[in-house]
Amino acid sequence: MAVASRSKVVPVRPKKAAARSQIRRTARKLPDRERPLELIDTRSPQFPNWLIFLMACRKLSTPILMVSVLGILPLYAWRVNTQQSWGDQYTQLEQLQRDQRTWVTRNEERKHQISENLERNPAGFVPKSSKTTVFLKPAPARPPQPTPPQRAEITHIDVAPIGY
Amino acid sequence: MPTPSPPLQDRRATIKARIQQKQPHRVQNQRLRLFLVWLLLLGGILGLSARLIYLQVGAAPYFQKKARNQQLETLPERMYRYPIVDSQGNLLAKDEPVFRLYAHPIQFKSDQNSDHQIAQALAPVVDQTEADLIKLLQSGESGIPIGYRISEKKAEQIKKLRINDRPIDGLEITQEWQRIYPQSELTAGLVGYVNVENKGQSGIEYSQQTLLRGAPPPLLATRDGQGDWLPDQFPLEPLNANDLTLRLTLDTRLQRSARQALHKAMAKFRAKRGTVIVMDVEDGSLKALASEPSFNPQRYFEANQALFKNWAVSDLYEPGSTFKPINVAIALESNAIKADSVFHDGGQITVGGWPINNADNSGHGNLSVTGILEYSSNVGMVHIMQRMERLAYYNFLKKIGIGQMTGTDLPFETPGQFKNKQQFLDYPIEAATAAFGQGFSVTPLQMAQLHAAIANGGKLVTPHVVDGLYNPLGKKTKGLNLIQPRQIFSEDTAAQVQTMMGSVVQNGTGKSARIPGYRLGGKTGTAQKANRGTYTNARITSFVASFPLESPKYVVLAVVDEPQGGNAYGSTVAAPVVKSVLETLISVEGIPPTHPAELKAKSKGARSGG
Repeated sequence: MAVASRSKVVPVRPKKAAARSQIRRTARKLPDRERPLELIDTRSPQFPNWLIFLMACRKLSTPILMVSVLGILPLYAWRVNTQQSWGDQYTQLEQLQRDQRTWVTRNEERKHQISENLERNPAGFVPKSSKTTVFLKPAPARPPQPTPPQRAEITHIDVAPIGY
Repeated sequence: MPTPSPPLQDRRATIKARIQQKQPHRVQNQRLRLFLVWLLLLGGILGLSARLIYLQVGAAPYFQKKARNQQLETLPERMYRYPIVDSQGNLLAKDEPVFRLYAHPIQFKSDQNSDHQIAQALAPVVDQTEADLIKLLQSGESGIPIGYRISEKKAEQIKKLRINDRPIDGLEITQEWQRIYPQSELTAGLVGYVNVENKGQSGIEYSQQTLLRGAPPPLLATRDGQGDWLPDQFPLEPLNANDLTLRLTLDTRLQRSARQALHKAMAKFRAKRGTVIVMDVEDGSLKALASEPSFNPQRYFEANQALFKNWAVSDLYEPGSTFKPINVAIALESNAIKADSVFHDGGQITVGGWPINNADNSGHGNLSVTGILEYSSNVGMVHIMQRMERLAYYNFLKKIGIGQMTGTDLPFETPGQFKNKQQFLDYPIEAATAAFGQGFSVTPLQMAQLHAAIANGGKLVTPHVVDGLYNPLGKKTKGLNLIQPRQIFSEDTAAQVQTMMGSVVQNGTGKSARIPGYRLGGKTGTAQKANRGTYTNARITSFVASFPLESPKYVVLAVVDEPQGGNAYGSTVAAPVVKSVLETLISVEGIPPTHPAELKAKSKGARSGG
């Protein structure tokens, strides 16, 4: 018998097809409680197609499910982590913006303060005025020098080393 | 296939028998049972599916709304009013978040040992002593104000305070806005200030409230349980996309220079107040408008309330001689005189029984129109204006806006005062005094506007200080609807008067404003101040200049009110102020000298002299 060599055997009550008449015969002979269980092969052509199809689906879907669960877990972790780190970064950005605001205000206040102080005590600084401004005469416009037309150099790409 | 040996067959049979023995006994109604279980399972599946469909489809909007209410929050407002900057981007006004701290002792947790520990934690942050805080905290059950105008940094510290590793319950921090004016007194007269409720009370803050308080749509984002923002529903556009900035035409460098020059003159002559206006003649934009004394907008509650109105816009004065070039333009435009007409100045003239003298009480003989302006001859001006019909003169003065407002964007503008038509026509003295700029009044701003009309070829432009609202990309999104410029003098007339004003600075009373290397047009003014219908000894001195003379771009007007001392005239008080401002203007705008030879001669002279 080939039973020993089969990889997957499931105890199922035979129900259909060719085996049926034989089983009925046996059943008639034996009382219900003594009806023998048979070891049957799931790949046997005796099974209906839909069952075979469902089993194939299960075989296929189980590994897919496992792979996707294993794949999604880190993906989920990554997503949560990204959101969190984004939040942290945003808090940091807010802090920087706050600093910038303070800095801009203080800078303007300082500028004003310096000008006010200089008005009271110039300390050698001279305010901007026409007396302290130098105007340079613009150089006369030079006509663009005609340049001799350059001969286009033909480079032989096939000769030059392109890469190493 | 080999037949299994008898002992193996036996063994197999035994196993089979054993398996069969262990099989449960067949139950008669097994099929029904199976069916019931199947029905139960199917019912369960169907029920769950139905529930799922109900939740996902039927009740979805309700739950979505509920979730949104829990997760979505408006991002904190970025500002209450838009900031104000000058034409160079220097900050003039800006909102800063400040915080108010309340305590609700009723919510304090008993294990945080309430008042004592809380006061201990709070004291260093809010700058109050522990004892004071305990007293405060014990003064009521809820809503006790602990501090206000708390800075952002300190508010953060308060939020992070922990007692026994837990945040303190019963402390409430509310955010408010505080308007900061970094330039303090420098631009207070223009920018104005806002009160505690953030309502503009003067200046641009008051007149342009609608522009400044353009509330951008609220931005929504999701928050996690800890209150941190989450990215999934965060607005895609930059958060500052709606942060507009109100830009003024002002240049703080010029403003500062104007203020300094004014300070100097006012201190020297112990004057009551003064103003300097620098206006771009082409569009009426103000480059500087300094009015002194000024106030600190941050501490407006300490200031004299009279200063909240910028007197250059809200107060009237009799312009005096600075109005003479306008009158000359009116006479020229009406063809009453020619540019080369000559008039006799006898030093005195009687009009309608009233004697009119020159300021120096002497006559100058025959004078050209230019000469009349150079000497600032009152008698000459009366002669000029007598060439015009009084009605025509009156109508012209009305046409150029005397007695009306300029329509500027600054608040509290006062319309000028002007005699009614009948009085002007019936009494010849009215037209005669108007000829040398007395008997009616204008604001300093209107005076600058009228001189700008001469400088720009006859267009009456609307003086304004607001450029518009700009977005963060530097694009103008909104401007002001100002009164459109209208032609009041022809270009020829304007050019003729401009030349005459050049001569006033070169040869006449405006010599003190001369700047080597440059030419400018100008006119001095010294007017007696009227008080309750009679003229007093108090004076108001002014000087107006258009610069550069050849193609004027700017009008600078300085008015100094009630300078003390015998030598206080437009030429001695106001002209040096204008000169100083023009010198800064030259350097700021990079205006090259039109007469460079003068500069060379001067430097040579200085070298040989030194």
